[in-house]
Formats: sequence, C-alpha cells, structure tokens
Amino acid sequence: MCILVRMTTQEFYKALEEAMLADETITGDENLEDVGLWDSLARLNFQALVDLHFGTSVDAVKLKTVTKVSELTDFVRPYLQDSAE
Amino acid sequence: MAIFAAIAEIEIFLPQQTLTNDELSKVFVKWTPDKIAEKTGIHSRHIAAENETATDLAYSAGAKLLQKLTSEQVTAIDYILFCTQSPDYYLPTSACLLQNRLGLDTHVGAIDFNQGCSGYIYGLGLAKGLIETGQARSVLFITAETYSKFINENDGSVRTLFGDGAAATLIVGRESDRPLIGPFVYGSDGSGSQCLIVPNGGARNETEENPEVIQNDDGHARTANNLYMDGAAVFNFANRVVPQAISTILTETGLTLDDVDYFVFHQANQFMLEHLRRKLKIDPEKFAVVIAEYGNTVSSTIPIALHDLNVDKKKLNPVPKCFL
Repeated sequence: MCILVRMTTQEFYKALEEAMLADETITGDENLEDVGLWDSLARLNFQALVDLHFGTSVDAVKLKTVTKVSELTDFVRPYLQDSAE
Repeated sequence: MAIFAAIAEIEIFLPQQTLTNDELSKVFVKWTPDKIAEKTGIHSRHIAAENETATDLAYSAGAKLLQKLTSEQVTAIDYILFCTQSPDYYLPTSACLLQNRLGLDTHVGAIDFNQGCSGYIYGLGLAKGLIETGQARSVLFITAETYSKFINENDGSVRTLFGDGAAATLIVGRESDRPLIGPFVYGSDGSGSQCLIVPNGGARNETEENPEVIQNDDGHARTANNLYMDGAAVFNFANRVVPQAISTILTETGLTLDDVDYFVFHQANQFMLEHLRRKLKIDPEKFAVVIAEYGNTVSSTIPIALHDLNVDKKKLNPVPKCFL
C-alpha cells in the first residue's frame, strides 16, 4: 500500500522544500539548518515523504545524525529517476 | 440467536485545566502556535490538576456514564475493566477502588490492565470475551491516562502531543444473528520498548530524586523519570504495522475499504493520521480526526472520538460499520 512515483532529483528537492517549509531553494549541497528548522517534526515530514513517494522507510537512528541535504538524498538515491547507479 | 457483545453507551471526562499552543510557544520559542497546530492538529489539551489522578478521571467518566443509565442497567453491571498506565498504587487494583467509589455492588469483578494507545481495542476484546463466554452480562470499561505527570515541561516533542482524559464505555450482551464487535487483530513487539518509555518509577528503576537532565539535539530536555518517545521510530512502527493490521482484518471479513462506513483510528496526532489516510487512500469524509481540543489521550482517543462523532455531530447515528 503505497504510492510509487519515480522522481527526479530536482523533484525530490522540491518535495523536500515543502516538507521542511524551506525559505530557500534547495540545490543539494546545503546544511539542513541553513534550509529551515530541522527538528523532530521536520524529520517526520521527511519520513512521510519517503514512504509516500518511494514506498520505503528511513532508518530512524541514522536519520538523527544527518546534517546535510546530500545525506537525505543518499536515503532515496536508489529510487531517483536520474540517479547514477 | 446468540448473545454478542455490543457498545451501549460512551461517556467522557476531561480535566478542567487546559494547555494551549500559545502557552507552549512561549516555552518552545522556535515553534509558533500556528506551526504546532499545523503539524499536530492540536490546539489545546486538558491537563489533570496536581492532586488529580487517572483513577479520579476514570471515576468522573464512570459516574457520568452511570447517571445516563437506568437503575436496572446499573444493577446489571457485573464487571469493571480499567485500562491505565498511571494507577493510583502498585496495589490495590484501581478497578477495585472504582467499584467502591462508583457504588457498584461487591459481586462485580474488577481488574486493571496496562496498555497505552492500543488499550481501547484490548478492552473491547476482553469485554467481548467475558460477555460471549457467559462470564459477564454487562461490562463497565474505563480508560484513563495522565501522561502530563510523566512529561518534562521542557520536552516539546511530547508536551505538544499528549493530553489527559478518560472515557467510560458500557458493553452489554445483545441477541444477534452475527457478531457486533470484531474481529480483532492483535500484535506485540517488545523489541521497541525503549522507543516509548518512562524508564524510572517501576520495579526496575526507582524514581530518582535528582535525576540527570538529558538534552537532545532539538533542545528538548527530560530525565529518566519522564516520558520518552522516539517519534521517528514510532512513525516507522505505525507505518509498517497499521496497514498490515488493516489488510488482515479486511481479508478475514471479506470487506474492502469501501465497505467501511467510518474509520476511527487511535488519534496520535494529525500528521500520523493524515499520512495513514493518504497512504491507504481513505476518503477524508469517512475518516475521524478528533484531536484539536484533546491531544493524544492515549487509550481514550478512540472512545472520545466515538463520543464526539456520535453526540455532537451525529455521524455515527445510526451505528454504521466502524473500523477502529
């Protein structure tokens, strides 16, 4: 039971902006704290995004150690349409 | 026709004191009242007074329910089930205290059970078992919780979510050609015990007088005397288990999601509810979100929602096919 939609990296960044209520456009190299408030609620938003769009879960322990957008991208890289395998 | 268990009445009780998002945003300055409301769906929670216990809330909910009943219905009650994780004492059993305070006869059976969010489902299952095996005719099932007493005032991750409250449900035997409650799906996973826990205060670790303050990366503070919830782990658990449980029940009953008139799930927070609703593709018109003025009252969220939907909005009258 999930919605599986193949996303490009740019589409993922856009979805991430919405999930994090980001003020700035995400390009992939940012520190999360520079993009928006990266707190427990933002982490839940990210988990929900990954579940709905990619039909997979995020390691909750690993998620707490993340500080950069690129690390979030790593969670979903295998599912991105334009990702180099 | 056989005798099957059925819900006859529900009554609720909420403590008078409230905690609003405005008040919380003064403590957790990164969160505006609107942001708390947007993320949790909660505007206000009821909080028990310092000297008000879960058993007190349970008594008030039970007394309100008994007032609605005829004397014959009250006399027919022969069992009390009380679900709480905040009993008055290690012993005696709080349900026995409730039997006495509610003025019920001493022939009434009384037992506590310790469950959190799944407590209402467990209680319905136990009551159904008691009634349909002829052990009881009429069960007074009360849920009550005061998590606020476990929560550190500086831990916004849980203080924004939980509220105190109680609900009393009368479950009786009715003649019917089919079951009126059930089937049930149960499950346990004790490996996740550290993800939602009050570490101190039981037999394993006694309450500390000067516990160490633990500060997490988000700036929330708690001690081992307090409630701890790993929100990310709980999300993953619910997200994995709830759709599975729903699928199992649908398979067992031969129903589809479209056959269900109304979905009343545990009201953890709006975010989790909305995620599950979207994932399962359930029509929002058929999906209960009754959390704005109560917060997560643990084992009482489902009966509070059923009570609200029935009494205030008449959505469950006549009684439809409800998925709890």
